Amino acid sequence: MRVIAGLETPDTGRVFIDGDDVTGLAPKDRGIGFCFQHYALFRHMTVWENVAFGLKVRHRPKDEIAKKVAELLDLVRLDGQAARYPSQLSGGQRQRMALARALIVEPRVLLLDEPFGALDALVSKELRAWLRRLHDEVHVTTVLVTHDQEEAMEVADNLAVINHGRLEQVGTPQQLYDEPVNDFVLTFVGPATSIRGEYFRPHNVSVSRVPAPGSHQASVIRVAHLGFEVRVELRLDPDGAGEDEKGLFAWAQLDRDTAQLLALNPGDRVHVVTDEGSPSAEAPARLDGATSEA
Amino acid sequence: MTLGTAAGAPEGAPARGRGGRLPGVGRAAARFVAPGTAVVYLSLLVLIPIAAVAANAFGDGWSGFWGSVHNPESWAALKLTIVSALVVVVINTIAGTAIAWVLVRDEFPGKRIVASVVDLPFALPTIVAGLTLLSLYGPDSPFHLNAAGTRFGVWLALAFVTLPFSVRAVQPVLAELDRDAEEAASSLGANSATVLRRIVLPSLAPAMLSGAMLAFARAMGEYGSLVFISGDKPFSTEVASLRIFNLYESSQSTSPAAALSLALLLISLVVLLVFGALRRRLARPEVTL
Repeated sequence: MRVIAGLETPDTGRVFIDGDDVTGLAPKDRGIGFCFQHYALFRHMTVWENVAFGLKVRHRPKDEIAKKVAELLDLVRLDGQAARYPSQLSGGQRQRMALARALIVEPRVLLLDEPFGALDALVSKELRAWLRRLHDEVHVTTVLVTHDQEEAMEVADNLAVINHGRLEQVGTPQQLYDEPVNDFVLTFVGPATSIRGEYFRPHNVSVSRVPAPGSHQASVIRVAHLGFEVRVELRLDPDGAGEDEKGLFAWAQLDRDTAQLLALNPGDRVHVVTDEGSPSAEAPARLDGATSEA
Repeated sequence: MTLGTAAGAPEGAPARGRGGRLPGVGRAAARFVAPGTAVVYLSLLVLIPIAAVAANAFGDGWSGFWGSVHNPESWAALKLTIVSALVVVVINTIAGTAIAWVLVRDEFPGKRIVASVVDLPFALPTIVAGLTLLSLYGPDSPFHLNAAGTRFGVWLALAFVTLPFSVRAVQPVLAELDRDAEEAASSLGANSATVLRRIVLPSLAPAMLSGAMLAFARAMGEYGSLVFISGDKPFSTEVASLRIFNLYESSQSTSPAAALSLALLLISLVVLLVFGALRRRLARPEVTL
């Protein structure tokens, strides 16, 4: 992200924006808008002055600045707060102000570094939906870095999964979910559970009272009712292949009706079947410290 | 007996009010003793001695006071002191901020040593500072730069003793400064001069003024480092503190010295109040964050 913005120089590789090689350009000449994780607001300036900054340093005429600032404040719904200082704004308002400040220079690329990371869950969710709608009005390519898979899936048209600096897969949220290229992407994008060393989506795992071909015997540990979704935690019977205790735990995602029909209770003996054609992969060695880019 | 039960509250209700866990005496102590100690200590150490000087200043009556302050030599000394203090403060605020910048933002071998050298003028007895300056910029200067007995020498000595104030006031604020804001500004199209002027300096200004206040106060009262290098020439390099000492030496009464002391004190007070008001104005938008 910082390399794209020109705040850091890459050791290898080049940066292209709209086909132009910008690797050697200063940040100000790249046509980017950068929103920092902690907003990086100018605390000694009012909201209006913050947003106007990009045009003022470009020495645009005063009436043009006034008009564009008013437009953008309206767009980010801060038109009533123009005379306030950043310290007088809520977290969500600060983030929206940072967006307005970045958008006013009409960047070719908008860079958002974990834009919702510092906000509480509810505000973050609201702002995500707003950001998505904003892109119907302002057509700007946006690169958003996040550690929150759900956020990435919700906001982005295209996702790039990066694991320890390595690009694992690029695709639409649906492609990544349904056709992960490897187990890392499968387990990282969306929920996953392992059964006999293979990973599955929990909604592709079904639970039955009667055995079926290829089914595994298991005991119910816990049933959690989450509204429409019912989560069944299971412990598979050891198959004698010497697998470790942790590998025996799995979970299935059932809908409410199915769960009601089965009437599962902790301790019940069940048979677990995995759906044909569901994405699966060998259990990966480790899953820690991953970044997804949207 | 608690107020609660007296008012008919049920037995066993937690006792509040005067009968609560904190006894009345304890609370009175908390309310009065701590501020009381502060006031008494401050009075004994600062206020009463100053009041005594003020009273002494008028020992020879109002005309005596005015005569001591407004005689040409004292007046020249006061003017020299104020002008020199202001000149040195302006120079040191700029230089001190630059040094703080280097200490915070740059990495270089020997940085720790440079950082402690900044504090040296604090640690050195001022008379030693004066001697050091004299050996370097005096009659035997290895650079043939004789500042002894000149106003330049006065400025040199004042700059030497006030530098740590300017550096140390800015340094912590600079270290805490939001670097992202600077990067945001440059990504928005600002060049580095604009970033410095529009983003960095406004954030540093209150701290720079704080340093300037301390440095000014120190420069107004400086004595030790000036004894040797200034040459103590009336109408030329005799600053207020030296003039006060000379008045004390030459007069049978301490009143003339006290009178000039009081004048110096009042001028310092007014200038510091102006600085303080300016600083509050500059810092206003940020105080609520």
